[in-house]
Amino acid sequence: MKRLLDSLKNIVGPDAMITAASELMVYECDGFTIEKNRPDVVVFPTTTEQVSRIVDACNYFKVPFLPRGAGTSLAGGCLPVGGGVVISLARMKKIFDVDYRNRCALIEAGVINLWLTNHLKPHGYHFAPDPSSQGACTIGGNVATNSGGPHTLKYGVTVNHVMGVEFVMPDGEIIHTGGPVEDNPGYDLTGVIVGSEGTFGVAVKSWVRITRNPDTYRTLLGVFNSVDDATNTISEIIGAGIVPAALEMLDQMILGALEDAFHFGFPLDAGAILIMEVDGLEAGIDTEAERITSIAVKNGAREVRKADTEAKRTLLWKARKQAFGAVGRLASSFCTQDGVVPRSKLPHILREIQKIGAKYDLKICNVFHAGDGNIHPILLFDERYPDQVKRVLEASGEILDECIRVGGSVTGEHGIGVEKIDFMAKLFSPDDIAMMIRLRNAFNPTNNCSPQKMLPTAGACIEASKAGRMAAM
Amino acid sequence: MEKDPLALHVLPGEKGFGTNVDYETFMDCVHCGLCLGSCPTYVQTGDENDSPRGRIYLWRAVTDGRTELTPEVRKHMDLCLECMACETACPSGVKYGKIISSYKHDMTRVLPPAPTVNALQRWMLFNLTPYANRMRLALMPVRIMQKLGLMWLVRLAGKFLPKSLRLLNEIVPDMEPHYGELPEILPAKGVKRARVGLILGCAADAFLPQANLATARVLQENGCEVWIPRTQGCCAALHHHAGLDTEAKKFAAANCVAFADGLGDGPNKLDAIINNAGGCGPVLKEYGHLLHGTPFEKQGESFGSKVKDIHEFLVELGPITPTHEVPLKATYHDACGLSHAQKIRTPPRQLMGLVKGLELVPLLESEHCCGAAGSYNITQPEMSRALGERKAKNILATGARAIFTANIGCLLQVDRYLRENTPSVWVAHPMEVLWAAYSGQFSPRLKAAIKPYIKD
Amino acid sequence: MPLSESLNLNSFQTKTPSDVAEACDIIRHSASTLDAIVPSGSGSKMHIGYSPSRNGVILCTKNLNKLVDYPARDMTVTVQAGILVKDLTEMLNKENQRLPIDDPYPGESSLGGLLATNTSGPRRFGWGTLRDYVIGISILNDEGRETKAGGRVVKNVAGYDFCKLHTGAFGTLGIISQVTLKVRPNPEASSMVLLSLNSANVESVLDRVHTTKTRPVAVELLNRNALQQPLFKNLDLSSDYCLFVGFEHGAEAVKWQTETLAPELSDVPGKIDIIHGPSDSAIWRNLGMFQSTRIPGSPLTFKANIPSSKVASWCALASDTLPGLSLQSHAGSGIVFGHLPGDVSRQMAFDAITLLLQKAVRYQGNLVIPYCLEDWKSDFPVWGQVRPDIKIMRKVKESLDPKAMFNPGRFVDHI
Ligand SMILES: Cc1cc2nc3c(=O)[nH]c(=O)nc-3n(C[C@H](O)[C@H](O)[C@H](O)COP(=O)(O)OP(=O)(O)OC[C@H]3O[C@@H](n4cnc5c(N)ncnc54)[C@H](O)[C@@H]3O)c2cc1C
Ligand code: SF4
Ligand code: SF4
Repeated sequence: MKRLLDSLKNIVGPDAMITAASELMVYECDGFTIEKNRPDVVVFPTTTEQVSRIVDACNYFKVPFLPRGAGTSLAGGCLPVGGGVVISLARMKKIFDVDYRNRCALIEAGVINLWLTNHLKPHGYHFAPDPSSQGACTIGGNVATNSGGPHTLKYGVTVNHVMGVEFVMPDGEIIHTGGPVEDNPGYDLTGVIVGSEGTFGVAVKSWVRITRNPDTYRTLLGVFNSVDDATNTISEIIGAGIVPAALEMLDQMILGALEDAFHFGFPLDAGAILIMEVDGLEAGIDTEAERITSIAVKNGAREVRKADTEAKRTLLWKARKQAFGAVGRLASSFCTQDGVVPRSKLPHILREIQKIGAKYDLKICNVFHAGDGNIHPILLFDERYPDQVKRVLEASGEILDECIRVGGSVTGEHGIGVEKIDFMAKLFSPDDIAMMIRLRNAFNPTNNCSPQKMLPTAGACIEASKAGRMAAM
Repeated sequence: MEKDPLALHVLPGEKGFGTNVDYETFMDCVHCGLCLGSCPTYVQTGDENDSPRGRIYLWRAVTDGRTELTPEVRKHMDLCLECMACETACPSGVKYGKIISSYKHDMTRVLPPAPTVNALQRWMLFNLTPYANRMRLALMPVRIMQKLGLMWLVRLAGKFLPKSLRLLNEIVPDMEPHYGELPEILPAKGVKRARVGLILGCAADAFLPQANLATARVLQENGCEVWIPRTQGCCAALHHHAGLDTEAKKFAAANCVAFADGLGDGPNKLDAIINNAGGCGPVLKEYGHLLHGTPFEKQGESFGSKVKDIHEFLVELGPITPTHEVPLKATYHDACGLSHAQKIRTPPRQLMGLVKGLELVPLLESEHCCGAAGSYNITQPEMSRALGERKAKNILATGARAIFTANIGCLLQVDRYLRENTPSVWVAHPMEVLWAAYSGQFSPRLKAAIKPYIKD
Repeated sequence: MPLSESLNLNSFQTKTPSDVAEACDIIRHSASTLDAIVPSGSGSKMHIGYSPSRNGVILCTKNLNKLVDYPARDMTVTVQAGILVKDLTEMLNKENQRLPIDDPYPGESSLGGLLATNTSGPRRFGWGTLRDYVIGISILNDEGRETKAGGRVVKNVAGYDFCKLHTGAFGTLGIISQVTLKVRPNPEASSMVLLSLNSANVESVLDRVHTTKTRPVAVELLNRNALQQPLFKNLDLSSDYCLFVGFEHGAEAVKWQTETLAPELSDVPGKIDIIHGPSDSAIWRNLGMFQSTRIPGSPLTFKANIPSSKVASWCALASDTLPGLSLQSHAGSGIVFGHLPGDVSRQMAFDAITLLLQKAVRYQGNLVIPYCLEDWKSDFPVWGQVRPDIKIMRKVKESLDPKAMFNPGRFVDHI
């Protein structure tokens, strides 16, 4: 280890690494805090060559390594399972080249998602994937987890907006896939690297698509007496062939907490509300908004309000995006799941969640990307009571099992990480997983890069005995 | 746990570290990391130990005894600007201020003053700055030399000055003549709408007296009778943030005494006590807390409840629209004390929006700390410079000819780093442009800034 | 296109399994005999790439064409990959939905083939390409087992994204047996604005279309030779170039955009025509088909990918190099298709392609040859310039198809 440290110091210099135990502690977990493990060292490279040399050094000394962006992963993607080297991309945050004419930008992995959008704003562009964590999470992390957000309903998730990457392979080699030009011949390596959760190597730079801002928005707030009415509205809007820019649901319990936090003026007696946004050209947008309104009304909406000023819209989205924070006001601990169901199954899954809540005597509230069928049930508990923790874990499992049963998935955007490894075998057959292992081996044959993530291999099984306080959405 | 020979310990029998904060405050942090991008120190170093989440984690670990209070931990805690951007960003409502202040207070228990502050700087900081008159006197030679156009001499001589004095020299802006002393009571113009007290501040009044003058005039213009008690002093923020509570309480009490006449229900009752420096506001508003358990507790509460930021106050009062046009492209930097601690972001923009001809363009990272942060430019010069330069870069990128911000520290810091590139940009308090718009009197720096817009 | 006109597959036997199990048997059998397997759907794209490096069987998926599940309200559809795109389109259309991907061989392509070749057309500018629509995929692997990835929900990050990997892999990594797609509602209206341009104006007009207030879903540039082809003959256009700007949205938005674009460009010399009509009207279909047209005698068709901003200058260079060239560009996306005229010699063609390839590569793009005379393939850069990431592609190939059974030698760098 000493020799590894020396060579790392040679590569990045003493000011770009952390070795003191007290400082390493901060890197022992990410947004998923149930499992923790301290890395042996954290390095902060500033160039691709440095990353490559760090990887070489790790391989030479047979020490595992793993990339880290802002550490907002909710699935333990940044957990250094066997210790080793954390390669933090946080000092690589240059926005090199924004080519508005060709609608692409070359940026480093450590650039914070929202900064990119802020950078593009004066020119009328943005980066479409807008995870709720966008004020902190990095583009590298988005690439690694294929992040989504409220507006990915219409605009697609990260993979739809990444054109190429500069990548350090687990053997230290620097490669470029794709690039600023579309349709390069050969396999779509960019497409598989996105969403590989750091198990294929380290993304150092990316070429991303930039998207023109819509001319205008209509943001509507549908107020419903029951969750059923709201979910029926969602599936009817989708079924009617309307593609809103965003379609988000919040239930009564979360509304109360949000109102406390943001004083938006939410109707507290509503069973559920839908945030429905359409965007695009001024021409025709009111017609579209009216169609949505009438579908909502037909399905029992008590009223449909308009967020008619930019300030209101901003506040509404802020409330939505920071919703989980307000959950802290409901209970001392909570645990969020990230299931996906076909959109027509939303009414069903929400009824099931309610039943499961009753069965385990747990309060569960909901706030989620309804348009995509991506649910985020939040299970409230008090971690001081082991019995409650146990019930939360069982109920979570049951909810996700039900998602699988109706043809869905156990993660829509947070990733498998270490948290959901056990579910992989429920979603996929041994043959499917064998193919995934083969693909990983093509990139990462020694499994020295991000070991024990994503794919179930012997020894990777995490004892999920204790659900801590957890953030999400 | 490995023993670190350099770690700090509490004396046997004393309370452990971190016991001065409610443990639930730590528990409120769900470790989501949403605060990271808003923290200027993290953005600068990329080290999560320099992030709010990291600092909370560190201090909780020290409190829990999971780690000792090592020099590394201290380094990261000391680097905190206390800008409170993280509180704004945190959706869980974590009271970060309580956590950092817990650290600061524990440090005053076990440590001699931080090693990066040398004796002279320290003396200046705590003995000169808080006393407006002493400060004004100390700055007199600078002012005279500036007046005589001899500042280049000082700047040249600066090379030979000791580092600490050189720093002072760098910080000092091109100063306008001090207005001298205002009468203790300024009458309202027109119908009297309110009676207010005005806090001048210490450093502010010495370095940038025109901001105070403008504030007073703008208040008058808006129908306020302004009372400026002669005996007022420093707001206590400097000492409070350094964990020097005894001194802080003294200053707070002194101000309660100075304003006593207006605190009760008597004929001189004040509708508000106006403060125009974002950095002072939060402490002034918290006098009740600060003086808790002292004989001044009641007065402190009354004082605190009357304190209003000038922008906040004017918007609530209903500002009178100024008539003179100020054709200027300008931008606005959110002083931390105003935007994060007091959550005042729109009122200054609203007020400046009243000025005809003033085009206010958005500033990238406008709510990021500029690195002034009270005494931070003295205790953490490197980080302070990095942040100052970053701020200057962002300001220049807007193409604005003027930058407004409502805090003395920020004004000095921004001026210092802009001066290095573009001395012609006007760095001013929003009240200055407002006053110009009310009065039609344009200062030389304002004139210089608007020059490119005036076609003859 | 009859198979005989395509790759050299004379000694290949065609097997047409009636179900997945049978297909798996064929693969297993080939695995034991080390025969190559050439996947084929309807055979419309069998001319693309190199001839296989080994003998073996053609595995035709045309009978694996069942609808598995079409929950129209979820806007997803799961089908077997052998289904004809035409049949899928018809089925979706009944629910007023569609897959907004242009099919250059209407009536002929199978979905699997469209996917394996990652085919796209004019609409890609507004609606993206197939990779944006495939959310689940089943693959018959080298061991003759059906394996799957992705799922049937529109948002899913569980496991690696094989959907992307197999899209455009030319069947070299396994046989696509089943696909789940995201679909879109049919647009309420569509229109096409046609601008006749002379060469000098192309670049500036493209730049301006880039910043137009409207939101086109297609920006197509055709040169004079292309406009003379039967597909476009009846438009009666004879300028140097014609720009086709297509809109597909709600009726009001289309109307507004059509009325806005023309005045925005009114100062450009040249006439402006407007074609209204549904999005499956002839103009859209023909623009989508140009790439697959065979101009009589034309020995070669290329596809270049370059930055959108370079389309005008690159097209000018191409026309100068080979005056008889027929060109179409998906100008918003930087894709250019060209059919060489019938009268070029092999050497002239080779020199021209080499030059144009170099220029494309200098722009960080490339140039491939989807069609050329079979005996030209030995020295023409069929898959363009090989890039360094070929190393990783080889590793992927070796890992997923270790015996090199699927389409051996056919794809980039004879992978
Ligand atoms: C409050 C909150 C809300 C959230 N909302 C959303 C949401 O709406 N949608 C969503 O999709 N996600 C959401 N997330 C999850 C998380 O923010 C995203 O996954 C995000 O993309 C992670 O970015 P990061 O920079 O923090 O990456 P990290 O957490 O640092 O890393 C995540 C994973 O990516 C890998 N990685 C990081 N950088 C690189 C790189 N350069 N190269 C290769 N691998 C890398 C890591 O090894 C790890 O496996 C949310 C999280 C929180 C805490
Ligand atoms: S302080 Fe707030 S924002 Fe930061 S990690 Fe903790 S809970 Fe999240
Ligand atoms: S107070 Fe400012 S510097 Fe300190 S942790 Fe919070 S955001 Fe960072």
